Amino acid sequence: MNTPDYKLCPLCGFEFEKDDTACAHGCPFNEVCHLIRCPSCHYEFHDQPQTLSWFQKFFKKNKETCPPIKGNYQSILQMKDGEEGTVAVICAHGSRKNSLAVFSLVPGSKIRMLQHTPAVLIQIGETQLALDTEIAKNIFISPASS
Amino acid sequence: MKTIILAGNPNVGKSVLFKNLTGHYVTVSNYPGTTVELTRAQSNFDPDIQVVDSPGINDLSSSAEDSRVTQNLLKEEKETVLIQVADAKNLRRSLLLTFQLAESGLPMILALNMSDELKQRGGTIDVQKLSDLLGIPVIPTVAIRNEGITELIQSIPHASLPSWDAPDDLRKKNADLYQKNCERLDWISSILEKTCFYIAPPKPSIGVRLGFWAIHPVKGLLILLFILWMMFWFVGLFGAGTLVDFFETALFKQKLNPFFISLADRCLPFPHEHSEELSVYHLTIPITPVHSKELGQIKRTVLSTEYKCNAPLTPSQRTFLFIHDLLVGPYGLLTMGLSYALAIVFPIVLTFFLLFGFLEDTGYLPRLAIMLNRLFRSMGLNGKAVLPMIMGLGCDTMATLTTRILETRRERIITTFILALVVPCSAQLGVIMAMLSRLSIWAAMIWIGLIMGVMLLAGRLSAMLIRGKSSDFILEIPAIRRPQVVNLLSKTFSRLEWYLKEVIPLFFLGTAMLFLFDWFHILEKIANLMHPIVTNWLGLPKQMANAFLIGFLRRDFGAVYLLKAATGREPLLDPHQIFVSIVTITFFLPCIATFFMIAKEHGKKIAVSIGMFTLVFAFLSGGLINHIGKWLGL
Repeated sequence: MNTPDYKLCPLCGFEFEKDDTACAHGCPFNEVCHLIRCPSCHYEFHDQPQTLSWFQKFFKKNKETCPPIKGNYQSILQMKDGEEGTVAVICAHGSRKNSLAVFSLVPGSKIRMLQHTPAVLIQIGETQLALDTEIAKNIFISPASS
Repeated sequence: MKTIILAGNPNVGKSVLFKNLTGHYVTVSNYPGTTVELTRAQSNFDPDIQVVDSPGINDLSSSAEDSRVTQNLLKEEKETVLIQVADAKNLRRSLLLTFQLAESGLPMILALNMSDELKQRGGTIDVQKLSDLLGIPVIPTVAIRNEGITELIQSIPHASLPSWDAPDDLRKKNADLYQKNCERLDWISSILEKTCFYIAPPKPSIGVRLGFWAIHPVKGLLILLFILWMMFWFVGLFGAGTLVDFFETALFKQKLNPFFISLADRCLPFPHEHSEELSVYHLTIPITPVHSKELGQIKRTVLSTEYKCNAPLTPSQRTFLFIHDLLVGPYGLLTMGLSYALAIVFPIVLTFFLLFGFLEDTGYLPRLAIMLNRLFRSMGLNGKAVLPMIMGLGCDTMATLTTRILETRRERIITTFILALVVPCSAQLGVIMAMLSRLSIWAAMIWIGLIMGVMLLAGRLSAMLIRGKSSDFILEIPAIRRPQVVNLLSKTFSRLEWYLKEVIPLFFLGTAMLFLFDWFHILEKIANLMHPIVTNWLGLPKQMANAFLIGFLRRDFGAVYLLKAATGREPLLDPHQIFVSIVTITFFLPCIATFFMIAKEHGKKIAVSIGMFTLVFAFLSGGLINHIGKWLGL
């Protein structure tokens, strides 16, 4: 199936159609300019040629990597069911970090592990939140609290 | 005119409150993100005030579609009072949104909804102190039981701009979104310490425990199997069996059709004689697919649609004959169109929507999303796609609309594609079940296996082909609640209304098309034209071309046609042919309304490519089943 030209803003992660670019109407650079402006955060970025992105996809490692964390932090996946702890570090990109924050999951919040399978389930205050293992892996609690 | 905007986190009861304030019903459910559009209505306490229900949002500053809808709404409306509906149990998250909404500069009221559930969990909120700290009226409510609504209405004139002494950092305009949210949360913590107190009850209630069982790896699977069995019994056996029998035989065949026929004969006189037939109705309660308990039966001799007419007719009598046949002939609008729509499709859809509404209101569906997350991951989706998928078992058009709750475009397209290709809607499912019951249990197993296989394969392939990103699976799990009967009934009613408005015109259109084609003898020509596909490739009798022809309008209409051919007194189809036709009609494009809905949501290009693909795939797989079956000698 042929999808229309969809762009992803590298800064804020907003998804939009290429025609929706926030460039001013009647801009003199119209034809020569190859920059795209995100309609959400107005960040300007260069359009990537398709062949290049194909190669990148081909060689890219699929796993998300998290920078090494100093200190004796423990991933919440290692918590036992029913164990409580205080979140110390959340290792994720901007939009994911923010979507966790709106469920009040930020460094410093107290969580309780409820179960691991079929999906990770944690409790923050009175909210029960189900997460993918991929996301939960990169949330760490400080050792003192466990 | 004044406007009241209801805003708040998902699944906090905005839509229930909307109903309390206006008397208008919008679909309410125990699933986050059911409202995808703005709904407006006049309030029931002051004709000059308009109330707007907005989609639930977690983060006003995010760029997702639903929060942009709310952002625009806050900018555009003039003379507005903003009522933030908050979940009293989740005050921390609600206040985060309060701070974001406060930046819009509108006078606000905070409604602490579900305060009863907070009490059950041993929590109390110092409402007066919270109101002082925030500088806006705070009203505890229980929207579902209409408590606190009068107080809320009285407080509307007192709505005020929030006045609080927030830390200086928060007033900076261009701070990073995430940093800003973190600082807000810090400050909220200090407010909560002063106003919110918890004493956990010693023993979790039965609802809480049930909620945990539903997502337990073993118990959850058992509950899932139980629900599937319940669905099969209630929709497949009771709805498609007992109720359809009642509506079709007892109501239409024995009462309404003879009445329509005699009425038409009286109004449109021309010399003809209707033949009579014996119709027997058995009232049965199903136990298993093959066993049932008979409670009674009614035998009646009734007028049939077939008639003899030998005398030569005058031109005016020919006109009468034409209208008579259009209304009550073998392809009559009343005797075929209306009775198929009301007697066969309606009872099945009714039972399905009742059950779906029940599952939705208890809060089981998000738990199902957790159980099925891994399965959906392999199709480039995540557990959140479970709502449109299950909805698709009811009506694919409605489900295509619900794909809006998915976050990325790629997920929306994959879900739409799978819905169109493999998920049969309830009417069709009921008819297919009825046809499968003529075959063996093995045929049913092969059919289910085939559907699952095609679904996984199609999902896998489309996930590879369609570019874009998948979203994260971060899903809030609502509390298990006891469904309110009134809410359940009004929800089922509004869905049925939507459905019937869509179905009946299409059934009339399809019947009229068949009738005209038959009248002008085009039907035979089309049958001859489709002969190579229908007879040679699928191995079906050539009359079945009709079924596929009306299958273009609605695939359940086509399926009903096939069912008639498979179960009549002299069945046209043998078991092998029944199976081939079931497979072909399963993979057909759902209906013309779904096609238009796909075009509206994703553009014409995608609608046409999905339509073409399902059509080719349906005939291809049907033919393969036919030839493989014959080759194996089944």
